[in-house]
Formats: sequence, structure tokens, C-alpha cells
Amino acid sequence: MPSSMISSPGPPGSGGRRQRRRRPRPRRPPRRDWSELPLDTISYVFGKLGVPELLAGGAMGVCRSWRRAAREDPSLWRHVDMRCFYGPAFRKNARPGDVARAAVSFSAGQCDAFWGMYDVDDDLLLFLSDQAPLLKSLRLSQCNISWQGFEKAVEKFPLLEELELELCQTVSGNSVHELISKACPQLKHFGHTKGRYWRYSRDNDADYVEALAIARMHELRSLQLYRIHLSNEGLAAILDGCLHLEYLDLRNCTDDISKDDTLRARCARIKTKKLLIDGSNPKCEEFEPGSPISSCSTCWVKDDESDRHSDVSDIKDFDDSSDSSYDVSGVDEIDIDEHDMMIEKNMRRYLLSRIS
Amino acid sequence: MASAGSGDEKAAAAAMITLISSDNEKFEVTEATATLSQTIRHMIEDGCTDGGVPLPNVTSKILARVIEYCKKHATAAAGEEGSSSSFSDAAFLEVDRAFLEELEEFDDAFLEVDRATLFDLILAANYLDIKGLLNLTCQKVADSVKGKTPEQIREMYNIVNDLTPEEEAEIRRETQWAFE
Repeated sequence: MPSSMISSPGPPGSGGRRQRRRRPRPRRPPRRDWSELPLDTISYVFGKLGVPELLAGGAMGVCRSWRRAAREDPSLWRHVDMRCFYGPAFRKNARPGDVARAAVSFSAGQCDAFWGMYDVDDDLLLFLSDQAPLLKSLRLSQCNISWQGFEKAVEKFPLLEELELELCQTVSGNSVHELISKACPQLKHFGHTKGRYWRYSRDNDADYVEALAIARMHELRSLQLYRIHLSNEGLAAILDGCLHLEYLDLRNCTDDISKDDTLRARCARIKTKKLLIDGSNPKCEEFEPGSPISSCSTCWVKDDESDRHSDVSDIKDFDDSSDSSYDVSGVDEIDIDEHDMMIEKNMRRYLLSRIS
Repeated sequence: MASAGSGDEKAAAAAMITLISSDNEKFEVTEATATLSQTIRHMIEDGCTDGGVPLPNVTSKILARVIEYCKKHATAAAGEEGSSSSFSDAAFLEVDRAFLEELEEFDDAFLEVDRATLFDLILAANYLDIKGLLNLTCQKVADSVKGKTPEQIREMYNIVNDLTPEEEAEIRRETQWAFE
């Protein structure tokens, strides 16, 4: 009797009401099986994770369909940016050389951008040159590559449109520009930073030869050089040879060209330019590792940013009084942040056009 | 004057599209809202929208949410277009920023859904080819799996591990560097 009282539904108005009162609570929605998402949708999610998280995170090992989505879409691996592997999330576990090899092999020959830092050696660069024939963008920062290794590899990147060499001591010799101008006829952006303790040769003939080699990079839209000595004649040769040049960023490179009216006039057609000569803020000597070279050009402003950021003309006054920086055309006022953004935009444009 | 009014009404009526969900509910939306979906845009271009657009893969619950998203983003897009011609650069930037902030808030609130709804929204965005919505929803999934182990992700997303021991061994081999 007591048991039947418990199990039987109560009369309306007692237990029944209690049950009904519960009902309005939102029902738990039916669960979905996320392994059944269409493969291209999973790939799309993975595209947002980026190469480091894909390789080091758990997503690829969840189930068969998620794994297929990652492995069978080479486009996910087209842009390998090894600089991320020095972040705290990956530093402990990553062996960068192996990570890079895995990413480049997953790209199945479609890798079009490789940005490496510290751990790129000859072996890895030659692996890249074999596995990434479509490479359009190569950035090497503080890498220990031999001249022979670089020479051999760069000849296999004929499609290169963007090349940055930063503090790679052994590939800083004078013939490096000659080599690049021959091997990469489609180069649109070139950035080169020589070592921190690099001394100018002050051998004007050799420097002129180097400038002539850069002048043969006829497709250049953007050129950034740091600690590479250019005479006024050298700069003139580059302006003559690189007729498409839109962005010019030379730091600790040029002689004082402020008094050369002809050269100033020839620079006038370049949309955006930044020239700093020796004696600029020593803090500029330190680049943030792996950042594009252009990021340095703001640091001398930040140093004294309290009121200078607010007004472009203030920056210009600062230029004139410190005598450390020239707007060579004498016409443009340069918004440095804008300049950096444009350089960055320019560099990425070619990548994005491929990726999208 | 009366005829001009009726002409406007006609134009407005012509620009309305009826969407029909899988459970046969009808939704009237403007063409501007509907064409955020590339799939529907192509149907309109091909002239196949008379009598409504049947969407057999999308339930009324999800379609209502999708329309809510499209309405908001279509309005924002129209606002931006209008403002670019009638404001000075500075005013335009200001208006632009306000639009973006408002949209961002809307998007954040829009994503406050359970995982089943998120799943259905992704399928709908994929099927209807609404890039912004697909982007938004997939970003949410990507953010949620970042830094998680396979087991944690399986748990979150109700996924059964169907990898064979051989495949798991292969994964370990491929990413050996991560297990040092």
C-alpha cells in the first residue's frame, strides 16, 4: 500500500503539479556529434588555430574525421611561422627543426611562406627548398646558415616575392645581393639587416657593386635595409633600377643625402620612405626578435612619445633638430605608424592574395 | 502622389524574399538580408525564388537565428555604405567605429548559445554560405579547443574516439617532438 502510493501518480493538484512545475525548465538540447561536421568546416576551424596549435594541440588527434580534415587539406599548412614556437605555450616541448619539417611535409608542396628564427640550419633550409617549390615568402632571423647552404637553397625558390634576412651573419657577404637578384627575379619585397657589430666596409667600390645588385631586383615594391652602407651613387642606382619601388626604409645605410637636391628630387616619387643615418637612438639597435624590420622605426618616437605622437609636425621638428632622420623629398610628412602599417600591408598582400 | 506611393510599395514588396524552414515555417526577409547568403543570392540571380526558398536543411529555430544575424549585418553594411558618401573622413571613421563596436557586441551576444545550437548554426552557415556567420561560429570552436588535449576536446564536443591503435601510434610518431 505505501509503495503503490509512492509510485502512482498523485491526484491533480499534489505531486502532478510538482512535476508540471519542473517542465518549463529548458530541456537539455539533443547532443550533436561533432565528428560529423563536414570536413571543409572542420578545416575552416583548424585554419583559425594556426600551424603551431594544430601541431602541438590536441585537435588533430581527436578522431578520424578531424585528423583527415587536418591532413588532407594542405592549405592549412601553407604558412609556416616558426616564430610562434618560441612562445611560452610551446617552448617546453617543441623541437623547432622537427616541427618545421612536419608542417612543411603536411603542406604537400604547397607551402608558400616560411618564417624561421634561430633554429633554421642548412639541413632544414635545404629540406624546405626541396619540399616547397612554390615558396613566395621567406624570412630568416638570426639563423645559423652557411653561405653554401643559402646559395644552394635560394636557387630553388624562383617564385620568391618576399625575402627578409635579419642578423644572419654568414649570409651577409657582398655577393648575397647578387645571388638573390639572379635567383629570385620576382622579388617584390626585400629586407636585409646586417649583424649588430657589422662594420661598414667604407669600401665605396664594393658598396656600389652591392647597390647595383639590389638595383637589378627590378620588381621590388618595397626595400628595407639596415646597416648596409649605400653611397649616394648607390642609392641613385637603386632608384634607377627599381622603378616600381613604393616603400623605402633605409636605416644606418646612407650618407647624408639631405644636401643632394637631385637625389632628393628622385626620391620624391617613392610614396613612403624613412631614412635614418648613424647616430640615431641606440635603442633602435635592438629589434624585437622575429618582428618585421619595420617595427623598429617607431622606437625612437616612443622614446619621447609624450607629446610627439599627437602631432605629425612635431615629429618632423624633432627630425630636423636632432638631424638624425630625413624626409628626403622635403615634401611629405611621414606618419611613422602609418608607414609601418603600409610596409606590413605590402608584405602581406602577396601572401593574402594566394591564401584567400 | 498616390501612384508614386504604390510604386514604392511594389518595389519594397518585390525586394522581399520568403524563406521556408525544414519544418515548413515561413520567414519574410528583405533581399538585402537574404543575400548575405551566397546560396540564396545565386538562387535570386537565377530567378528561382518565386513561391519562397525552401531550406530543407535548416529548422525554424536555427533559421530565425540566422535571419537575426543577417538582418543586423545587412543593416550595418548598408549604414557603412551610406556614411561613406555623406560624412567627412573623420566623421566617417567615428561612425565606422561605432558600427564596429555595436556589431562586435551583437556578435558576442549572438554566440551565447549551447553547443548543439552552435553546431546547427555552423551547418546552416556552411549550407547557406554566409561567410561572416561561418567565420564567427568557427572562431568560437577554434578558441574553445586551443590548448586542450584530444580527450578534453572529445568530452566537450561529444566525440567518440574512433582512431585505431595504429593511427594513434602514427599520430604520436608524427608529433614526437611534442612528447619529449
